[in-house]
Amino acid sequence: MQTNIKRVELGKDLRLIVKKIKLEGTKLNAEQLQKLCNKLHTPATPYHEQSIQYVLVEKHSNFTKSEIAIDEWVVKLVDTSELMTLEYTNKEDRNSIAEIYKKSFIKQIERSNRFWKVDSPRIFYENNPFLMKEGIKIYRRFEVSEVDLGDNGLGFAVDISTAFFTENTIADYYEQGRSNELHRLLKRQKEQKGTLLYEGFNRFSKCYFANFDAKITLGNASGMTVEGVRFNSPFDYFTQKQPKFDVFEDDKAVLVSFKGLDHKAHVPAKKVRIRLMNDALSRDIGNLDKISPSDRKAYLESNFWNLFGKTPFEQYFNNIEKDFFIPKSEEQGIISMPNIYFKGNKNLFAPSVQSKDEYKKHYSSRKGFLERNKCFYTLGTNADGNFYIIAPENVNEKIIDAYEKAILEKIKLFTGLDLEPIRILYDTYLGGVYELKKYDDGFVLFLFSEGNDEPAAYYNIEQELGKDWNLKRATVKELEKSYRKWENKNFYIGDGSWNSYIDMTVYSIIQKMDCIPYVVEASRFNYDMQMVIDVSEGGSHFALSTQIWNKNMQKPLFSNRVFTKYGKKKETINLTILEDKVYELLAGKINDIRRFKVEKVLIVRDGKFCEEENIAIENAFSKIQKENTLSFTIAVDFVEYHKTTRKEIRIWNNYENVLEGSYFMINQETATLATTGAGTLNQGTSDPIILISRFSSNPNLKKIIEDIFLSAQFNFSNPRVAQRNTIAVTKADNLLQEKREQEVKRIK
Amino acid sequence: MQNALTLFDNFELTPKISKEKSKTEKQSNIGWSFSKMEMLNDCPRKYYYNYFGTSKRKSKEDNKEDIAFLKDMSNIHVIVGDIVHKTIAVFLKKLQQEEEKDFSFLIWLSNQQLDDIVNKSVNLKNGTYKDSKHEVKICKEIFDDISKKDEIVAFAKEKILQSLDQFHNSNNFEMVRDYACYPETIIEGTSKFKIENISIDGRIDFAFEDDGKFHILDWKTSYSQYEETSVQLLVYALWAIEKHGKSIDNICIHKAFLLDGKMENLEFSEKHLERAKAKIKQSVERIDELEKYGNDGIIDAFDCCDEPKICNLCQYEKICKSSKNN
Repeated sequence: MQTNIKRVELGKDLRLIVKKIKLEGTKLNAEQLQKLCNKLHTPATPYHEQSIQYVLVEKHSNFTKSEIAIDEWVVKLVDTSELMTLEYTNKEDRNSIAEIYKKSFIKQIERSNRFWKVDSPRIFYENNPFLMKEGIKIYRRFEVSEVDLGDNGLGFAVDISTAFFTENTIADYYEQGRSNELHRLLKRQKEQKGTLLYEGFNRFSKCYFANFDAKITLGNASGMTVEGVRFNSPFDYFTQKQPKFDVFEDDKAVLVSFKGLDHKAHVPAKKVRIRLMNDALSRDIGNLDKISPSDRKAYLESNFWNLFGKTPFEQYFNNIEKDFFIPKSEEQGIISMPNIYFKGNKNLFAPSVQSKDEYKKHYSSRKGFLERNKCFYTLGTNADGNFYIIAPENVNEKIIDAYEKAILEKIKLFTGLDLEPIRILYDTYLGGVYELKKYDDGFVLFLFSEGNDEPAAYYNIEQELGKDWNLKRATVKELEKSYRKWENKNFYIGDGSWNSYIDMTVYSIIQKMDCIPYVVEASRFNYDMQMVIDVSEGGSHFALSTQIWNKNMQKPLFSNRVFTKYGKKKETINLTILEDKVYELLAGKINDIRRFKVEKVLIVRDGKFCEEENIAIENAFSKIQKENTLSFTIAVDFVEYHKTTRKEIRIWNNYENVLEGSYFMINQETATLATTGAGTLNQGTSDPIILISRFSSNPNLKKIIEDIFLSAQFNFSNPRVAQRNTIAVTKADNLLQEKREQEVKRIK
Repeated sequence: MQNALTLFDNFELTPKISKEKSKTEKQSNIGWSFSKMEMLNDCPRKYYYNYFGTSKRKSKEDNKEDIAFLKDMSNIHVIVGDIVHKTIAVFLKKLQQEEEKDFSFLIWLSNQQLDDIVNKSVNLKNGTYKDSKHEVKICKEIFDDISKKDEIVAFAKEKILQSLDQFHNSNNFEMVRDYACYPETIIEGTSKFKIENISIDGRIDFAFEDDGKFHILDWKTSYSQYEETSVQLLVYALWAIEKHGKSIDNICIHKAFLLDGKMENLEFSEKHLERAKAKIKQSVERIDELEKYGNDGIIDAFDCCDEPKICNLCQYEKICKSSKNN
């Protein structure tokens, strides 16, 4: 196994002699200390001894600044000339060494003049797009992260991804009468913010579209107050603050919002482009982001690492090793695939050999097994209740007939259930809901017309129907698109697209009905229960999602709930509320916990544990233990689950994707796990997840990795394809996504 | 010499304390206001202090009296906004009663209010406050640091003057001055109505009817700025539909920016109103889920926002900080 990490020479024997710069004046908080370090021209990291604050810099650093302004404070910097040696073998020094090396690396990258940045200090875009196609400028970008390799020392992972920007500016779209196209690209009807790239006077910034009015120019747009100074218009501001910026009074202005700025601002529309997300791209262009391991490795070498050779850091720093880091055999491995069981315990054996072909065969057999043997569990689910299809009355009858027939056939094929649907056609969606409510509750497949495909409508429907109804949303637009392709059956892709559209809809329906397509052998799991904690993207809700499954059980239990999250800190859940909700959830499951002897629990925090969440969770478990006489003690382990690998680590094998289940222990607490891989990935490089064991002095990371991988096999979103996330993570994600899609955000 | 004028004689102040409602009534009748929503979004801890902190039954805090005292405190920006709103309302109500006043009246009236607030703040700080004008606010900045009094007063006077000057002289607001004379024009009125079981509470700055169109105007003590849509303003439209039976096509909502004298119209459609209703319902859900923690006096369920921009302007800043240190 190879990685995309390069290691700093000397490994764990790495040392760095630094000098201490004392800070005098007001005490700075952690954020202000970081700001101060970023303002310095030399790589620096905060440090403190008792109550005295310092920054540490490499001992040769030419330190000239004596004062620096941070927020409203001025801090005096005093060079103490006092030296200290940071050693990588000392765990407490690791962060400081890594921080100074990283900043030195970043400074060298900046000095190369080969890249530009937007907001993140560690993401670098190549100066020129590598391709321009369909009016889109396509750039490669490099993301740099430091990696603590434990006893292997300090490493740096650099990864490539792709960014897409429109060639035309916002001004061009309006001048050419293409505002509809613009709004489609910005996804305004979905209440999304529309990400933009603003080319300011001397830097690029990310911002979000708010409004465009053709009558508004830089000269006549509203004035603004910046740092206490009033400017009559944006043009007035640019004239006074950035006189060399090539903008004019009658340039059209677009209103945008910037992260961290509490008011919106008008900026020149000719300087703003759209950052296109994958779902706005054609398949051909979107696939450009899928880079195979061999191409990835080659590109990283030729377009990034070769620019710096062995010395990506400044003078007096160590070199970096030439080759990519290869973990030792005891630090890596493959979690073997489990056997899976369908109805009547029909067994699909795990691949007999760990090879790409065997894995491919195994995954592609899953769907056939499901069709032949049916779901492991359907009885007692709400799959045997009423089934409704509700659609706008103007949808072509032929299409809705074909849709209904295909959905029902597929449900029967997977579950054996013969459902008799009731179809309701509506004029207005609420009228449809009122009609629906005349019937007994059940499962509803709700088709939205384009005009109603928005949060308020989703919310109103859920509100009107209440909790007894089970709802799956679909859009007429997607249905018609798939159907039209299917009609043109000369096309192979047409038929494939319709089938896969129906398959994906049915997989989702049967999961919502609480059917269990298949189970993973219970004896393989180390933990009896996994509890996932996740916070929604905007920070408005959090979810708790559980999987209980051990050898004492006939079938696994899954459950998930969503709660309101308060406060402006996006990731932080109030500890009192968290404790309360975890307790409530456990109390509701106490019979299962007792009956199935749930002794070992893995708490999986999607993202980072914030503040003292572990204590809140432990308190809830203690309370449950105390209030209920259990014959056993529940042991709780904690792991952080990073879906977007914050360290941008990739692994591959002989220039090919690794097999599903491959892992690499980065250090004692951290591992990277490829839940997807060569078995089902036809293009691109496997994007592993990062697992960090927390709050344990002696973590058994291997057991955690095993259970996470096994639980990812439970993910029924598409049986033919290895799924990246565990079932509990996916259920929490889906629930939060549903909430997010109902949230009315654009009106304040 | 001007006659002594009670500043609040023409106001329909919303009663601060409503009668205790029965449990069933509470469940079926949930109260919502824009400010309640905003406060919860800004800082749950501030929301706790404001809505639960002074309740003898609910709050477990030892400092209920401090919280009650701080409830009467506002930062200078809120105070300026209040003074401007009240001054304009009195001025317009005088016009409605056919009593025309000039610009000096506006200044005199605003100065009176500011003086009352400054005196109360200073005297309370010095422990010499005797009057019981409960309705007079306390200025946070002056109470926190009395040495800044002159600076704060100068700032407030400048902002008030700028706003009143625009109000009185800008051509954009001529229509307001003209329509104030009509008896059916609403000046500083309440806008209570219901969306399903939710009682909506708000205040209308100015509303009048002209040629079949129902105009609602909201004073903004800021420079003009673009707002795509605003729940606060859409609520006025919902109120006009619900309480005055207006059709959406006949409702015009204006934002009157007092610092630069600009007037902007809010464009809205049925879709916007549907979204506003959904937003209010979602907000009520958020309020409702926290209710049990507030009623049980569990302050820890209400986190402080820890955002300097908000904390520096919050009247509960000091007790909030000290509760964290404890």
